[in-house]
Amino acid sequence: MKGNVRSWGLVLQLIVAGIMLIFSLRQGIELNANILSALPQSQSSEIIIQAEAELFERFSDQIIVSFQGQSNVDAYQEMLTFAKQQNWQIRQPSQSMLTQLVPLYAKHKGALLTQEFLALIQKPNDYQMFFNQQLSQLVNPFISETFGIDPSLSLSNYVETLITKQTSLTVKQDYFLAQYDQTEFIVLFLEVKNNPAERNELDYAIETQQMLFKYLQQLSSRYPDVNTHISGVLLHTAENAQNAQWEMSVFGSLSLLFTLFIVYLTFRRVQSVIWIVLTVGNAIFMGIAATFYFFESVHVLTIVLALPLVGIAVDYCIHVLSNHFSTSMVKVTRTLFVAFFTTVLSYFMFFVTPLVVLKQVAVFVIFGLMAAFIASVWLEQFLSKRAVDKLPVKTINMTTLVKFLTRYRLVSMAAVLTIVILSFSHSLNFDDNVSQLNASSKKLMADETLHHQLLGQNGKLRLFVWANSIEQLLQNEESLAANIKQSFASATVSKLSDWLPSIARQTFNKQGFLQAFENGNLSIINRYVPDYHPTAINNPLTLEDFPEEIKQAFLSHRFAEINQQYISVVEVSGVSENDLSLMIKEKNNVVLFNKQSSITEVLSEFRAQLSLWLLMAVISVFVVFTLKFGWGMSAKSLAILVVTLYCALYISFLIQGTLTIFNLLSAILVLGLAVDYLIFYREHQLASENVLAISLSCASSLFVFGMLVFSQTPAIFHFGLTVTLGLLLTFLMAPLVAKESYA
Amino acid sequence: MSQIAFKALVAFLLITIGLNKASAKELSAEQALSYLTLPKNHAVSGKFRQKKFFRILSSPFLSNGTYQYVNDQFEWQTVSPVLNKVVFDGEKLWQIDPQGLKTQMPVAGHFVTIVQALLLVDMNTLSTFFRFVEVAPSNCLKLEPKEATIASIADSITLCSQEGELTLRMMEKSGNYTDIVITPNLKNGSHQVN
Repeated sequence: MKGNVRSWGLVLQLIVAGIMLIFSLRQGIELNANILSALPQSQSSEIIIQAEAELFERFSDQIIVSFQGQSNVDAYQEMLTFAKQQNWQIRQPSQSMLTQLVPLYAKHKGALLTQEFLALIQKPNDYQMFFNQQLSQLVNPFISETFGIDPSLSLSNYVETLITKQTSLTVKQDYFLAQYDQTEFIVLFLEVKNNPAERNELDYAIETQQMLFKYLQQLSSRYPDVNTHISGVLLHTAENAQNAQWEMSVFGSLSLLFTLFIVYLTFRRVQSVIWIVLTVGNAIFMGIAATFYFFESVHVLTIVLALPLVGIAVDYCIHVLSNHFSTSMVKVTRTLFVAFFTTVLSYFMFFVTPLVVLKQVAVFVIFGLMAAFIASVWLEQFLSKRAVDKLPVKTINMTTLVKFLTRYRLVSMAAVLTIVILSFSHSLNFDDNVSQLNASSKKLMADETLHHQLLGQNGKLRLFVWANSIEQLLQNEESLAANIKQSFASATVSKLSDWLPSIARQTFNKQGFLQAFENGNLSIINRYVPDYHPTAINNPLTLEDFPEEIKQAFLSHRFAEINQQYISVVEVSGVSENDLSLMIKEKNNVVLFNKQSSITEVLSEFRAQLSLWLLMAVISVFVVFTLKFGWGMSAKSLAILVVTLYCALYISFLIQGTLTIFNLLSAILVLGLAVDYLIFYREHQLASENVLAISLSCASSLFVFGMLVFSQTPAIFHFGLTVTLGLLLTFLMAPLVAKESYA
Repeated sequence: MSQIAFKALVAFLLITIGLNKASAKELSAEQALSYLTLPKNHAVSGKFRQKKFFRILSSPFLSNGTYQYVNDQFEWQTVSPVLNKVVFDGEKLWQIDPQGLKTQMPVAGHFVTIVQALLLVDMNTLSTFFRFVEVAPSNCLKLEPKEATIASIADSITLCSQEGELTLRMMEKSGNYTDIVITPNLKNGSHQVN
């Protein structure tokens, strides 16, 4: 009867998982990879996510190559030819910019004025000086192009300000030139779009990167005096993907091989390996089905954070197998249930956090563990019915190990306490910087920094501004820019309304211009052009007046229409991020956007929530242990848990120099495993099959997660390091809850 | 016979065109200097007079001033009709008003380099932007822009040298033009034009 219940339980679990997966598939499975969407949701966060996708997506395909050295022009020309052969888009200086803009703006002369020009025409002497200075210039293409249309020079001043503000680069012949540290660099902009976008994005990034590097190498052998620098998002993607692919294939294969080998070596049964794989597979299947069933969109971070499930699910099966193959015939279902219940209770705490990702992790792990538990208890029942083919467990000398663990318990306690005392001389601090996620090479990072310098991107801050109509958006931008200028005199602001002033601003400008003329402030014009008179009111310039080609070239990257909201990006230089944040704090519909700090903010938020969760999880374990095993056991367990986690984190801190969220994530895994070990030591003491199961669990987890300590990616290395240290410490400390007499 | 005469005529025309082409030959920077009978070491300071002929203007716009190249800085100072100084330090362009207030100006393309090269008769620098073509009269040289970006400041420049003075005529596509007379100050030293 009991056996039937277990079988039905497993069947029911599989049916439920299947139904949930079918429902999820019918609704459509959506995996969200945008790290910013992991932030607590708000209106501004929604705007940031969508605007970032709309306005900055184009930069993901952009590659910047710079050439420095005597033959840099020749090297540039060769690279240009190569890029054209690949059908990559090339951004080159265009003289048509001036000739395109002048006819458009000429129809609205007098209404399109820079702030500086508006101030000049208020004072006749200032305007006269400006007029004379401008016409005294030896060459000025803006004046040449516009003076015949607008002798007041307002149009020339407007277009010149717009175009020269556009970039910090200068143009020489047909290429962009940048100066840095008294050195000239030719800058080439390429758009290496995956077109048609059929190939896998990562494969395309790796392929393109290799092609570019190979070509640049050839180029440097032909032009040894030329230094080339290359940067772009695609190169980061390629480097990180290559690194991850290598690590995943090497570490994944090795850890799987070692784990299966050690399991086989212990039980000498191929079936044992199959049971473990099936139990873990069932847990992951259930976890995925439930998460996609309960959430419309699942974040990739959920999958990463739910990794401990694998480690714990393996444990359940190992306990069942080691007890089955031992001579003791001890049942572990009850103990497994206590372990399962305690872990589930801990993961329930994630539901009180404001982060959806952590709620998703809770669903994933709880349902996954439930499946692992159901599969394990069924397996225990299933194996008990089979012919007893006992395997004397002699592959590992358990007696020696048990004796060692108990004999040296005082030594291990003393060692751990010494570490704790030593740690008081340091304060553990965390670094939430996003660079922990980046495994890009130093060369790429250095080239990127150089290109930021060349393009004047350093210190440039970006604000998102939004409104219900384009006119309101432009007015908001203008008022924001005026506030910034008022607060920070040296600030420069670049915005959509520079190219398209609001109608209100144009009307104001036009009135100001006509008034200045009527007042005689512009009389110098009539000295040279006697019949000059400004045109009366003309139709204001609107977005619809911009030809599509001009809109695409100059405006498309500055604003977007999202869900009936108009949103634009305003670039600010010459102000610190803190000062600007403070200034816009009280403003509606304005938000400072810095992807790096936004991701850092996500990580900080997660770290805070995870720290709180760890505390609550330890407390809940304490409560369960007290109710189940009494004060003595729970106090001892609490001390072991706290000391183990603390020491693992402290030693990681000593090695790394600072802790990260990934150390905390591994602490969650260590906590989950440590709770299991404590319960099993309490329930089954130092019975050889129990020590074997725990040793196997520890070894498999070390192989699976500890291998990560060899990763080049800082985040993965941090995870692997704390898991390794935590598991070793747990392995030493957990037997302390067993009765000494057992040894 | 008529066929032979026709072939001869064609041959003659081709040779004539070829010769004409050859006569309007392109010169190197060094050849341009010797063609204009200019010394290799040109003055680093001097005076200029400028007349702007815009179609819209009832009379040309006149201005004059001085220029000098000192300590890797190029200074262009207008004395009339307004006192104004522009300084190019090789990287940034500054405007200095009569009160000494320094304001950074936008560097529109590489035009400031061209202005500096024109006034200092730096044929090497000019040769990266222009082709040098001989034109009549014999002391004049035509500078044709190599790129469209340069054509936006002048469709062509005629540079003539006469009795120690240089005259420049910068023609624009629109028909507007600027005449500049440069009088180098030979007493204040010179710089090597390579």
